[in-house]
Amino acid sequence: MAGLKLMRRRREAEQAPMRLSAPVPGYLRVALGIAVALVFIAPVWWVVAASFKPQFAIFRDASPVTAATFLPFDATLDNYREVFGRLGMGRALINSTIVAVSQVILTLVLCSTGAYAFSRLRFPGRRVLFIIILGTLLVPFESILIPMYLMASRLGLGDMLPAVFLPEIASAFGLFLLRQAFDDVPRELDDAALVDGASHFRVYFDVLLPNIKPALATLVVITFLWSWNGFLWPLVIIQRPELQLIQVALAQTVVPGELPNWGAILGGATIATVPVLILFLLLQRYIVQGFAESAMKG
Amino acid sequence: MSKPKKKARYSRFITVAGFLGPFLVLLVVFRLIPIAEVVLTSLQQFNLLRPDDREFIGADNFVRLASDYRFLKSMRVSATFVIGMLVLQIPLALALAMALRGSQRGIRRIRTIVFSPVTMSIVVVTAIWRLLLDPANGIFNGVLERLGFEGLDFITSTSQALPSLMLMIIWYQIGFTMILFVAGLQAIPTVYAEAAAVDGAGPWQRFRFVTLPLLSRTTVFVVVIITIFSFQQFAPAYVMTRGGPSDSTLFVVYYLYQQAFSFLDPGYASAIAVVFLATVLVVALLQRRLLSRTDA
Repeated sequence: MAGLKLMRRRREAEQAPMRLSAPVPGYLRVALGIAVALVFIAPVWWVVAASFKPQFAIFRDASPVTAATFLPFDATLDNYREVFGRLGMGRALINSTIVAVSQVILTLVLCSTGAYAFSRLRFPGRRVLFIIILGTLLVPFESILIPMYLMASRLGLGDMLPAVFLPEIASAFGLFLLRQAFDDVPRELDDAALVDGASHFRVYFDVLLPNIKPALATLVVITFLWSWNGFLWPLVIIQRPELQLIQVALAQTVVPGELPNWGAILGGATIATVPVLILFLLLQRYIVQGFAESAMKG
Repeated sequence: MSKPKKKARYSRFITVAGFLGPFLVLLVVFRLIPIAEVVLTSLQQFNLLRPDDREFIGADNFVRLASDYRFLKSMRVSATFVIGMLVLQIPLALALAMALRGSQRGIRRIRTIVFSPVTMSIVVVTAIWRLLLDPANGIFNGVLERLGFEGLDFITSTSQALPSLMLMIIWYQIGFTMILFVAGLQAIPTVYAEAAAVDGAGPWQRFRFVTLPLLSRTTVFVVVIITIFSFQQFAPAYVMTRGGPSDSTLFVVYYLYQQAFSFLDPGYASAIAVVFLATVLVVALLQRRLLSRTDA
């Protein structure tokens, strides 16, 4: 066994591409890597640690920076009591969850059926229509904010949670992503089912959908992030405090020109972020891969 | 036309409508109509609270834009921000990608960490950075003081506010840019660099004359994405600075929002939106040009 392994390794070494001399020695790269990682971890770590401190301890530990800055001495739940109590962010978390889950489900349904039509059905104007849909990806949401607001009010959606997600579910990005996935599934699969007398709905639901699970997962995760992190549209369309979403609620703890409410910002930022960070760490391959691939294709 | 043929055509229409109908209806209502309508509202004057009482005023809103000091300032602020992001973020992201392009577990883990802020919301990032940048109690000044420097004013200073936001957005986005570069680098076959090395090219020469030219497609794409992202900036101004101090962080989209929802002048805001949209489309078209050239 060991000999075999050694042989394989030797062969790999022979076949491996020539090692190009690295400009930086190994230990320096490790140190650099750790330093880089710290730049991105430290602020988030501080937020979570400081969210458990009373205000005087946050200030005391912040300057000058020591190990205590990043450790929750004098731990207390006061900040969370304020965040969930007086600031009502528990309600906002529930609202954001309702919006994000609805948006994910409806986006999946609309984009997968639409993508099926473009991938498997023939109809006049198909190409032009697809180009128009892709073209809408070039239009930033900010530029149509005002007519969107007028449209939502006209339809009687103003100040309702569906007003947040309904305009987002016909996602050109999602349609594009799933169409690519459908196109990669061999047609022999659905032809066989169609010959056997299956309807298009059966082919879509029973034959094709199970074959594009990775793309569906990517769409689920990215749509959830999008929805959960969205800010401008919910800020504009939702006024009633009891319908507020978590990002808008958090934004209101920061009042420009006034001294910040440190405890509320730290606690609010933590509860607004922890769900997505957990989701990200569990499903990161779908996110990173999906972002890079879809961005390059688009 | 024979009857069965007509019937087949009808059933095909039903199938297509069933699959595509819902998507199309929502796309028309919430994308296509609004795109057309923003051009219309940019030629109108009305109060946001009375949207049915509109007056057609031709190009007046655009004429007003041309002499609106704050609008011109907002375009300058956004342009400065875009250029700052391109000049600072792209070289940094490329350097990170070069250092972290390998596939060893440790390197992948660091990439994941650098990418993780991308999954946070801009509001969370801005709220956190509001505290990090706090002149009196923030960590940044805590570090500076620890190193023996004097603390900075950051967002309370007209000259430091915009650079502070740039630093924040670089921290927020660089993981995304880095991932794009890593994907681009991994797509380049190593034989080119090896051949150059055989010919005696050093690491810098290999990077400059082999890697960089082969990466140009990715680079053009990154330039466009960063330009558009940076031009779309809104939340940092809304949450942290309200465009201040003295309009030094007045992003175009924040000014648009202010005109529409604070000053209730959606016609004028629509004119800003049209200029904004036109700029984004021009950038996107330039991208196509540049990309097709690099293909040749």
